[in-house]
Amino acid sequence: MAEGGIGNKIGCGLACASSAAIFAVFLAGNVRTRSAVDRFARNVAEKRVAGMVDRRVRSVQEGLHWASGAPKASAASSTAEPKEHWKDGTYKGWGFSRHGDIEATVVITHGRIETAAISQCRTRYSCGVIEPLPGQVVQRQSPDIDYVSGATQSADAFYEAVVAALQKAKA
Amino acid sequence: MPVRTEAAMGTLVTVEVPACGSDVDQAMERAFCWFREIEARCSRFDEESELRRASAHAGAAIRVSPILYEVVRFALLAAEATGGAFDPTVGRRMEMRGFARNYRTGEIAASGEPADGATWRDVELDPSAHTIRLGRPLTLDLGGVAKGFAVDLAARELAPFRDFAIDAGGDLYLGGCNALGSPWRVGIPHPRIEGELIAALAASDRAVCTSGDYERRRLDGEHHILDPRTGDSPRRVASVTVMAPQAVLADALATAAFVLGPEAGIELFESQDVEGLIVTVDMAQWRTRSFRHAA
Repeated sequence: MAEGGIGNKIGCGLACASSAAIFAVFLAGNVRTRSAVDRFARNVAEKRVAGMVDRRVRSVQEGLHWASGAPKASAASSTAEPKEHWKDGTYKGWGFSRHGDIEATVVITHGRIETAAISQCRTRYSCGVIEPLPGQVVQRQSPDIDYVSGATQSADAFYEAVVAALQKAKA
Repeated sequence: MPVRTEAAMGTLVTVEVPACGSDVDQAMERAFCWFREIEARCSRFDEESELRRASAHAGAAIRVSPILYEVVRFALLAAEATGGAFDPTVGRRMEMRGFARNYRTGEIAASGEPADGATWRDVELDPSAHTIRLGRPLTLDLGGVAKGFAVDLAARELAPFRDFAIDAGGDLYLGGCNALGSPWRVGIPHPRIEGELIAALAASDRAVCTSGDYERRRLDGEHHILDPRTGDSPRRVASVTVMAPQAVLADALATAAFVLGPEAGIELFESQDVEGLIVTVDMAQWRTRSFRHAA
């Protein structure tokens, strides 16, 4: 928009700009993991390339066929090797989005993520759409989850929540 | 029920959380930290603030903190989206009109240079270097936007408790429900009759910002909002209330609507998908389609 006429929208409006800015400051202020900031930047860049749907997004969408019912803890049989050292225990963390907040609970057993779950879903929308994500955390032994088309904010909040929980497991 | 009040950003900030516990106290402390942090960076009244230091060298690209950068960036986006009705570069003209007193020390803050036709287009940001460059000498006034930012960041700190209220002198954020388990009720002051309400609304997980011409009014009718395009105080609107997902958004849009007047103001709210109520000086009420009174 070169000459901003009154009421012209910028992308999805000023609400997106303000929530992104608050998120950026919040992350910087809390000096959370660098990867969270990078992921945020990646996400913004990805949104700019409208219409681009990559393989990962599709795989998650297909995954929705088996995602149903109430949020539950996910445990996977074949999993990656953890890249970090975590202490055994149960850890909780919060992630935030403009649609509301998500609490993740991660259980570490023998240094591995045994289960990951959406323990509290306080988003305006159902967390059912991101239900495949906890399984990915276990499978990959990492908070690096797929993007979920149509639920990027909730997915980001879940990612943040897992990062926050794992941060406590490192301490 | 933990309630705490502190002076910050030229007003009193009150935070209320119906839950109890030491984690509530810690989160409240972090919430107030944001107010102090943002004030220290974004105040135009304090010559030691990062904003004042970054504004001291027009023409040079100054690297700034993520906080100041994001606040300025949002202010410029809001200026663009409102066609300049909201403009953070009105600072110098505010000073010229006497809105220049540091509320803590009483000192007059004045950057000394004459007012000119500076607009938001004279501010350049470099996202890769995180720098701000002023194309000409000007004073950025981040007042409402900075306060809104602080409210939103404080709200993030308190979000785990779900139910909480933040009141920062006209900028509110209401999380979840009140102690009675129902949405928070927010009264909108009557612009002309002190102590009376002209409307009330129910808010949950929403920011509510009310701006009135009755705040910091001067005897000649000038008040604290200037039309950036004319340099005068707009005279048609008595008060504006915006309910939005974020306080920073509500504050910027309320300021813009003050300048735009009721018709264009409501149009702006509808286009940005926020709820709003504009009361004109003849006490007529203009509302967005979605604006609902509390039952």
